[in-house]
Amino acid sequence: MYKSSSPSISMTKKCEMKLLGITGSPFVTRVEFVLKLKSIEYEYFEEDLLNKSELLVTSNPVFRRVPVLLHANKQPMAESLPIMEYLDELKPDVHPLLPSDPSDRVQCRVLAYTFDTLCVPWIKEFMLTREKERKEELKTLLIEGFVMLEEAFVKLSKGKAFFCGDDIGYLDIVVGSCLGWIKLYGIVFDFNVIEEDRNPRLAEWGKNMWSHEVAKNVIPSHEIHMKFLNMLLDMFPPLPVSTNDAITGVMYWNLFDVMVDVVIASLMISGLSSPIWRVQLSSWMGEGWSTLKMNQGQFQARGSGGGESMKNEDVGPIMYLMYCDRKVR
Amino acid sequence: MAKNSEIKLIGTAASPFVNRVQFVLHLKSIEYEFIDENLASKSELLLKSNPVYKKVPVLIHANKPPIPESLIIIEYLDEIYPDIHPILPSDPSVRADNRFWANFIDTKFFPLFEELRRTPEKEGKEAIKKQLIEGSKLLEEAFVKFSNGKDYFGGDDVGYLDIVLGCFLGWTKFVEKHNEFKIIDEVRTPKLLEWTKRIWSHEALMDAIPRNETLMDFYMMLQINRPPRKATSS
Repeated sequence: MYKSSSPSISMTKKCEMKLLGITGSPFVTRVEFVLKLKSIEYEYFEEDLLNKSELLVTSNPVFRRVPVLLHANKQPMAESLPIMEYLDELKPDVHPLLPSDPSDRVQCRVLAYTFDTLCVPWIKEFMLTREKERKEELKTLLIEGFVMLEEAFVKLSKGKAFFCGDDIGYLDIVVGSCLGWIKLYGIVFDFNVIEEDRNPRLAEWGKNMWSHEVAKNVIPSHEIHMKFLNMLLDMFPPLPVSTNDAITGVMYWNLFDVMVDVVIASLMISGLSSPIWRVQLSSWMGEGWSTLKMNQGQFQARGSGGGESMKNEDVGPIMYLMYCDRKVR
Repeated sequence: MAKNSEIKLIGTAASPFVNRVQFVLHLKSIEYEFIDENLASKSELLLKSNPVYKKVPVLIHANKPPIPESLIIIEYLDEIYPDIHPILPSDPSVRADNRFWANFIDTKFFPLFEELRRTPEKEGKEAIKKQLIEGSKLLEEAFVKFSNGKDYFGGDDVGYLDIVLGCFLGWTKFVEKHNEFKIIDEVRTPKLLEWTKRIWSHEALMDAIPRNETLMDFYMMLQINRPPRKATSS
């Protein structure tokens, strides 16, 4: 259970600053990080994802997610980056987060945006996906992403210990909030997102973060993330079909792959010689996720993905002609 | 008059994100060079300036590192020219609220336009139209809150959200006409409708938003390069 953020809360007047959060969320961690660095007292409220509070739902009706910062009678604030900037503007003299030069500031924002739109979704998906292939792809993506981050660190830090200087700032918080997850992946999946060979400066930065007086008490430990991960795995157990095929010995990771193999086998038994089959990543034919559905002897492609990438290699159209023309007629 | 021929903007006229930056440059009377980009065949300069996303707009200011992402560019311009037509409000909590709604518009509202174009079936399209209408109702509420009885999101004059949302109006009208429905109308979103008429005739916006033919050309380009998904049965 999460302990109260401010030890003196019972002595002071009712807290003007309230934070709605979930233990283990890197976005919530970011806000707490800033509040602590700037010595802002606040009251923390732990939300239950499956049973969101009235306060959360009314404060953030658009997204219904944490973090939400409530400050006195001001409009509730949502989204970690705007909240961080708000706190920085509220108390600019105490531990300023962003550099003063507009050009440096803008590069911080660009990197934070890139990190949030690329690396963070990959980090999240890596935890949630059961598909072995996808996990491997995500590893590659994360490695590339963090190599890029290493380059950015070298450029921005100019030799200093943190992203923009001698002490923790905006980017250290944005990226650092994910360090618990990164540590977890190293322990549980034997996958090191940050590795000394590939990311020497980031590896050193990681150590500095974990030993920083404020950071080490704010960044959730990997044990907390492990609890969260176990909870998710309990909520969504793996499908019973992830077993080996009794005859071929092939291991299936999802029902879709089973279906595809059944279809292929049936067609080949029916006499179709050398069909050109290809499954892109974990989808049928195209960029998105799709299923094939046999419907009265015809094949239909459903869902997202229209075979664009396949069409570029002249495979998509061939497949469509072969298997859709019965319906077209 | 802020003269600065050191500012270059890589973009394409049909992109509302690029229009936003043009709007701000105009409001702040900043001179700049516009580098027209063909999105179907991206230039070396664009790929070098925005290697991660390869998208427009990208702002290049003198010999500083290039800046992508329209919202980030707007904040940068506001910081380097704070005295000429400030874009973001001064109150920190209102600024946070502005940034929140800009994020909503960019991540939840506008992507629906593209989703609508790419969805082939009528059912799917109807579902997205519904979402767009729901979104517009939220924006109506936001407008009432921010404008507080005045003409714009920014109050008496054009501000951040007027720019962020206003630049989508060309596409909004296009999509409404093309799909025969109204996203913004006098029954569900009366205040927003009044606002659209007001901002549509604002001098700086008229300068930034392209005419219908440009949008049509761009739309056709998208239809070819990123066609709608295949329909399911009948």
